[in-house]
Amino acid sequence: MSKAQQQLRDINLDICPYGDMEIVLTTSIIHATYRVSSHQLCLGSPVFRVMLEANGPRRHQSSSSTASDAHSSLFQLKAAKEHDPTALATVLYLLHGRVEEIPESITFDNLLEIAIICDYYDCAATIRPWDETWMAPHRCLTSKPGYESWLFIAWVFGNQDVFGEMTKYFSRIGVMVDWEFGVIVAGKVKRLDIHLPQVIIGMTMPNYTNDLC
Amino acid sequence: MTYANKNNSDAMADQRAKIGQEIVTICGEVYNKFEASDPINCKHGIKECDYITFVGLHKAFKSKKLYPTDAKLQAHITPNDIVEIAKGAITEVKNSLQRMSKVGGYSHSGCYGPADGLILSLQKELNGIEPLQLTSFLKKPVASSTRSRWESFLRNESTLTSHSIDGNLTFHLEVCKYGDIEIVLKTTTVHATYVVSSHQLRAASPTFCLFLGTGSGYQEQTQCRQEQTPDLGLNADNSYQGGHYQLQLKKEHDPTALFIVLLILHARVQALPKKVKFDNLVSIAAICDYYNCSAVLQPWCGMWIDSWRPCLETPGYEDWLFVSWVLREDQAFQTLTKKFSKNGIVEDNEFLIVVSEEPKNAKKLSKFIPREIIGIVPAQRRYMLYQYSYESIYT
Repeated sequence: MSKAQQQLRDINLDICPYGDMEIVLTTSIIHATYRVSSHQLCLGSPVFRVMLEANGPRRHQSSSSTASDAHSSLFQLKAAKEHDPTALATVLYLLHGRVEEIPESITFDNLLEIAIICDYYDCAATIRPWDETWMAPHRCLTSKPGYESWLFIAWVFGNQDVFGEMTKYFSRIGVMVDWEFGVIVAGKVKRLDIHLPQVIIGMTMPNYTNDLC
Repeated sequence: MTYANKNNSDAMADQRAKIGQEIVTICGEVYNKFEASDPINCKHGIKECDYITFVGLHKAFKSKKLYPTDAKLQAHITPNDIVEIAKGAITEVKNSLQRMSKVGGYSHSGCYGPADGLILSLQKELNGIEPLQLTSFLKKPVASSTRSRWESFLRNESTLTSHSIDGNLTFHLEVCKYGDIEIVLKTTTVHATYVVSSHQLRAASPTFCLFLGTGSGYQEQTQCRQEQTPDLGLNADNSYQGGHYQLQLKKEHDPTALFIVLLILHARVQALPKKVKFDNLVSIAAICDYYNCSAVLQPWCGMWIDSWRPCLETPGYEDWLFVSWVLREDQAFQTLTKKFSKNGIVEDNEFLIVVSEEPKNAKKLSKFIPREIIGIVPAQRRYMLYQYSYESIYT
């Protein structure tokens, strides 16, 4: 094992003690393994359903790994690298209905990470009603600089109030620079790395795009 | 007269000097504000800063119709007035600064100058923009309300198979597609079968853990575990194997409430309604109590309870006591026990709540409420009476 790999923090989480598969997440600082139940994932998320059901890659994997020893016989699924380990754990706990592990309030950054994962696995409806509990304390931050990602969060969790507010706000402060979306904060253009579909950004700023074209 | 006038004009000159000083200080203040908000433009923008300041002052004077060149008016202004006006101007400038930092100026030359920002008449136009509608961007179109979503979900999920021999409705509900056991509920009107996953039930509820745990004495259960393939009972074609172990429920639960509870235990909350009827809430609380799983249902029950809070003391909602007891609503529990100890009566060894005096109507409390609570309520009442009589006799 190389030196770089040894420095990773290993974390094992039994989200479902009787789980039949493992999700492996390797980021630059952490190597996390989540033991989960594929059935629960399929119930909660259409993305997992496609990945794990009969004709998906999982079947081939399980048939090919029969020869390996009992410990590693669990099917391992690699998670997308850029996901936040804590946020992924929270979403997985909720997909398994284990609410005793869920915090009552989370920071804005964590909320964003959870929204990214919910968008990726298309499971925003499964984390009801926690999304509302978490969003409520951050509601006052919508139009503050630095909280532009609210638009994405509102879109993922389907909060029309915030979504309308943010699109209206962005159509005022947003600009397109080299076909990238940015906002003007204190006279400077700040580029945003938001995961929104292009169509929303295009609709938000018809004036500016028209000007540029 | 002239002397007084002269004196007066001297005083005026003094005042003007004073005002000038004041304005310089205020301008400095504005400049500092400006620098703090926009350091880049400030470097080469001192002129613009002056410009803004004077635009602001000009505006303020004009709005108060006290333009300083007007000699007649000037004579009537006290220094305090001018300081007030200058302060007004400052707020004006501050506001325009704030607006600028929000609006930003985008011109074709690519400059974001404060002057551009101030002059941008875009502001008005932009205020008229309509917010976008979220529904047009959702991946899947959703039904108009959660209520109808829940109803359509129920329609899709419940496969009404047949009327059985004794005229009961028979439901087959798949809570978990790959479930390994079936829960069978037979009430007087409904015969329902729920396909569930035993792991999920055991994780959420101690009662189910007792039924289905590895240490469970139920022979069928041990067998069910042993026979299980690593793939949790899946056939090659991804359908579940027939002949699940069936868990018969002896208790008469409400079928819909049980379905809701099982859905939450399996984290299938996508279509759950935001409001439930009060009767359903009571049935859900009864199931929570029986299977000891109120912790898992907490976020949902909390939401449903909130909509019924106004009915706490309304006659006909006596079951609130039971709901508050199961779901640990301390405040409601205290209010109700206090109320019931006042208007409760004991008849034929049963504790009744008087709903209305004329005509006399008393109601039994829910059968789910444990004896201890019902026992305490009359005791509390006796204690109150005793205290009252004690006080009236000896004081």
